[in-house]
Amino acid sequence: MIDKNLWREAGRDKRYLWATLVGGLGSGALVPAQAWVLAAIVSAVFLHGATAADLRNQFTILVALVAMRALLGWLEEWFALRLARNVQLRLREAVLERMEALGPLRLREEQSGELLHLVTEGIEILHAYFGKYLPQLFKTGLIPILFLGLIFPRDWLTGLILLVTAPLLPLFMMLIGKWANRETNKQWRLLARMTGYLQDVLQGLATLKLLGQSAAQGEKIAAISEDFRRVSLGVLRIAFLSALTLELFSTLSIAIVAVALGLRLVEGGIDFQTAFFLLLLAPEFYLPIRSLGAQYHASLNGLAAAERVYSFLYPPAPAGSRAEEPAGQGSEVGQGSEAGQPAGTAGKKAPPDGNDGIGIVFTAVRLDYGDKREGALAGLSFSLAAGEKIGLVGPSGGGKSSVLHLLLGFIQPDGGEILINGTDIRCLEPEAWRRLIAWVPQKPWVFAGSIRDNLLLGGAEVTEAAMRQTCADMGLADFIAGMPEGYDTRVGQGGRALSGGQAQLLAVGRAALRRAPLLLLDEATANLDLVREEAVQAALWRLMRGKTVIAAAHRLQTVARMDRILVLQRGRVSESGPPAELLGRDGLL
Amino acid sequence: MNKKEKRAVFLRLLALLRPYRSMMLGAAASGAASVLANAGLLAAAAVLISAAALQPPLFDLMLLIAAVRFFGVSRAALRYGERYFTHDVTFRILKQIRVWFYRALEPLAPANLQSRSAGELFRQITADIETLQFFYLRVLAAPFAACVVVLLCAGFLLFYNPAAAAALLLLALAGGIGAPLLARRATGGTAAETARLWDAVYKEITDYIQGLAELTACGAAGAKRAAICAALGEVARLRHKIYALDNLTACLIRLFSHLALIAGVFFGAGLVAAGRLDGIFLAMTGLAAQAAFEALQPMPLALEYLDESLTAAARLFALAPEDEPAPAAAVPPAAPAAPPAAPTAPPAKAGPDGAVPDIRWQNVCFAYGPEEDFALRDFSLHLPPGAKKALVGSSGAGKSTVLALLLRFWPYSAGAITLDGREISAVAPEEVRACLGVLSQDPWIFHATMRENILLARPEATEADLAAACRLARLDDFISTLPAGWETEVGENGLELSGGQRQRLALARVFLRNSPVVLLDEADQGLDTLTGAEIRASLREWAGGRTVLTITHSLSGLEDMDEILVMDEGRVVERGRHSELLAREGLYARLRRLADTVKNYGV
Repeated sequence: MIDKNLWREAGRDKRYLWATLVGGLGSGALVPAQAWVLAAIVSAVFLHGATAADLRNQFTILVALVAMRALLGWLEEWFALRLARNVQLRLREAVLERMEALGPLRLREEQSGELLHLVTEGIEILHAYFGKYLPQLFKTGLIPILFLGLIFPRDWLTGLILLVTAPLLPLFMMLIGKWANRETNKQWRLLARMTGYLQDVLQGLATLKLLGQSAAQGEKIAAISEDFRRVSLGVLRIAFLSALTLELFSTLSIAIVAVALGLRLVEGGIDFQTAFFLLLLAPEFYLPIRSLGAQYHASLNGLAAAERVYSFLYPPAPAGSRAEEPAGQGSEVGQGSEAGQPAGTAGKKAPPDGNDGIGIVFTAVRLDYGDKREGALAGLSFSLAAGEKIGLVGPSGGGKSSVLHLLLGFIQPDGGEILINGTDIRCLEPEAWRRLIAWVPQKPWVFAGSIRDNLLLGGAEVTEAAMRQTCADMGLADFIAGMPEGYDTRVGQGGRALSGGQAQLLAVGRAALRRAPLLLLDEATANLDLVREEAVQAALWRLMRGKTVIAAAHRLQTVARMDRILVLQRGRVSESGPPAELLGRDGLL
Repeated sequence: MNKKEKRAVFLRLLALLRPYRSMMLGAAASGAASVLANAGLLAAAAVLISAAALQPPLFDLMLLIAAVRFFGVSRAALRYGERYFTHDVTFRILKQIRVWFYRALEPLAPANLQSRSAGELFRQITADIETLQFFYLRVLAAPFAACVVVLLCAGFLLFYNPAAAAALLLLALAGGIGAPLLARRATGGTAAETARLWDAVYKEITDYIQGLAELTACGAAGAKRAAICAALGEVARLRHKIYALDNLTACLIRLFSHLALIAGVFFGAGLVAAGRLDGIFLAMTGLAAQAAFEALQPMPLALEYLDESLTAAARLFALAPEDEPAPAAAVPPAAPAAPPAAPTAPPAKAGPDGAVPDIRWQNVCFAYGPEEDFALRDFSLHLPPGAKKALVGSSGAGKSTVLALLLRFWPYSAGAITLDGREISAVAPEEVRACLGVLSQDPWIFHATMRENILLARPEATEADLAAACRLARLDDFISTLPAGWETEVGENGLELSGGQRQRLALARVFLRNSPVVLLDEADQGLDTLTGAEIRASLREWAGGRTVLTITHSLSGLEDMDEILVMDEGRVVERGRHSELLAREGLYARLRRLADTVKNYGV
């Protein structure tokens, strides 16, 4: 089984593909030579009274052939693995690129754990597919034919036995394998469920203890495992039949060949050397087919991985929308042709000079967000002068975050337009535009690395002294000084775990260091407890000085000192005005 | 791990598998037998055609023909049996390891599971257990079968061609043990380096996926990706080196098998010429020697899996130390707490199950680790039957620790906690917990149905109890909107539920449990204001004569409390009733004012 995407991927490394093929066929072709020399030696000693000394040359040739065969076999796999290495690297790059092209919001719809698994273990599995299965597939297709070509002229009966049984092997394998495979897949799912159960119980152990149920789970785990064993064995009893037939056909055929040869030797119908040669060749004839059977799982796993990779890279286009045709893109995997961008980068303009401030106008902006109503915008209009500060408040799902995500370019509007100093945001070169934005997200991610790395994410060009000064201004100094190694403390995965509040402080520091004219705050103090919120809020006021600011908040306190407040409900502005005025009114507030 | 530790882990692992030793032996023996059958087939076939070449009467060949057919059929049958038995044993071992691990871990939890990122730890545990299920097959059975096959083949050859037998032994040693050991030595450093790099790049990829929004916003995604790809390229280069060496080992084993064949024929030729070996056995001695090598093919893997298994086992053993008395083991274990010790009699409509105990913390001090600060200092609190008290303070003030100690999740270092006058360390943890109904801050929702999740609190509860509990927790309306109602699956850790729904589910468990003492850690968490107030009201009404200890940082609904303890950095800084505390103008008053600002501005 060959996946056409994978095959095309392999085709991009023709050198290694050919080298694999040549190595495999070369080592295969040495098999009959070796058998022939060995048969000649045995025949000479056994029937013609030759001594080992007489046969020195033959023995030397034999050892040379055997060594050559080992070498070619090693090279074959070396090249195949080299091929696998290139393919894996290209696919990993493509998947990572595709993630960025999808953008963080659409990526969030995917299971992050599954994506991580895809890039790492998922693609890793392909090494067995390219390194073991593919070379074996070549050999299985070619070597038995080569052997038959050598066997038929010498003894048609042996040739016939092999020729008739050879296709039966894969046939039975497929017939039983297909069924067995379906059943074994069920088994794997059962195993996954069983594993999941244990994990579930372990993670909920504290809860189970509180409810006095933890001791009883031991019995339950035993019972589930026992069930799994019994059901599995029931399936495997039949699944193993495929291996049984494979084995039975090849060993029985060898036995039949041997007996047939023996009978004809008695009658004098064949000479010993030829007969022995054929006997040596018979097991080797079945070997590639049997080895292919052994790599069956590598092939299935490889195909499954390929399927996941390619369906992520080129998702099936929903009816009616622009199809992303994979065929034309074989050589440009992951170039990320992304829908939603009206023009290529060619037509992009440089963004406005941030020194004059950023003015923003939303005109009837619509965002459909698939079928979900959460976060959709229904013709949102507002404008924001350079240097103005507005607060967005409203129930969750009202569209506050969507406004920020639109400005960040994580999503594109489905209608209406967003003007930045008079230019449509879609015409701005995204990277350059984002350089003008500092963003404090709702749940900031802490990257593995030092606190300094996290603060300077994206290579903010500031001196150490300036960084420390900014952090001190933002009220981060105490928090950082409290860490065991100050700015060099390792945080994130493999480092110190930060609390939600600490992560948010870090994000505030990061935003301050970007020195960008537009500041976007998304519930920047949501994860802090009351005492700490006061401190961060104070830092944020300092940070806002002289910038255009949009702050989304679920607490009015956070935005009480803004110039203006917009209340967002169901994707529209339901009320707006200065905070004092809004508080006096009897609206949603 | 040094050699001694490895040995200890290996022995402990073997001890764990002890109950299955005869089964394991049987399965491994059938594996050896199937290789021997193949050797027998080739040997008998070689003798058959050699003998036939001398053109004897056909009758003389009948025995050989029968042998060829016998081996041809038995090989396949033995192979089938081997696979079947091996899997049977493997599944049994899997069960054994899971149950053993759970039983060893359970009494120590959750103290031994905290302070690590939990998700990662549990993935590691399950992965380690899965690794260990192959310990028998790959580490024990394969080398055992290899030894049996090589020794039997060599023994057989000894009768015909002693030199060939010696060659077989030597080449088998070189191929089965020498080559894999050398390869491992050659890859050792590379493998460690690869694992280190892979671990690093794995974290980078996680960062890239989870932090893509920040990276994109900061224009750093491209650079991060380039760094990841460079690291991936380096990992791939190193891995290729390892794979190539592994492959070299496999090729060497194959080469040695051919050399064994050639050696057999070479030495055999000398014996035939000297008249010490009948020529019809010449081919056989070579083929039998070669066939034995089939059993050596899994040897390189055995070595690799030995390392992997020992690492996995060491990690599991570290979590569940041997013979170390669990906190629970200090007292005679209560009868397995299948249904909790709570009486099974149907609850009186108004009251809790069991008598309401008197609970007291006296000067309790506690730190989570020897190097950690004290999480609780000199803490005292008395909960007489029916008391309604509250702990307040900002996060990290030690409020939840008070509960954890009473629940016997951690042993306290100084002071005393008593239940009806008995020190709780002298009472079985199950017995302490039996009288407590706890709403914890992070209740786990199991990957099961709504009904199963709630019933966990009281498996023997009637349908009416269940409905009543859900009504109290304001969960009934939600359940009636679910397509499958009570039977709705809630997903992994209740992923299908919102924060408020989870909280109400957890509350329903507390109501259903109907215990005399109720401990509520942030009961409002995730609930909107209205539902929060409703639930507080139903809790108040339901509480009756029960003892209730409330933990909160939101400070709402504390007006009727008998006593409020304000905590900061592990100490009680103020205590008294609501009105007294407000009058004192201390931390409580300050927190209260902050909360009011939020409430007034709250949208």
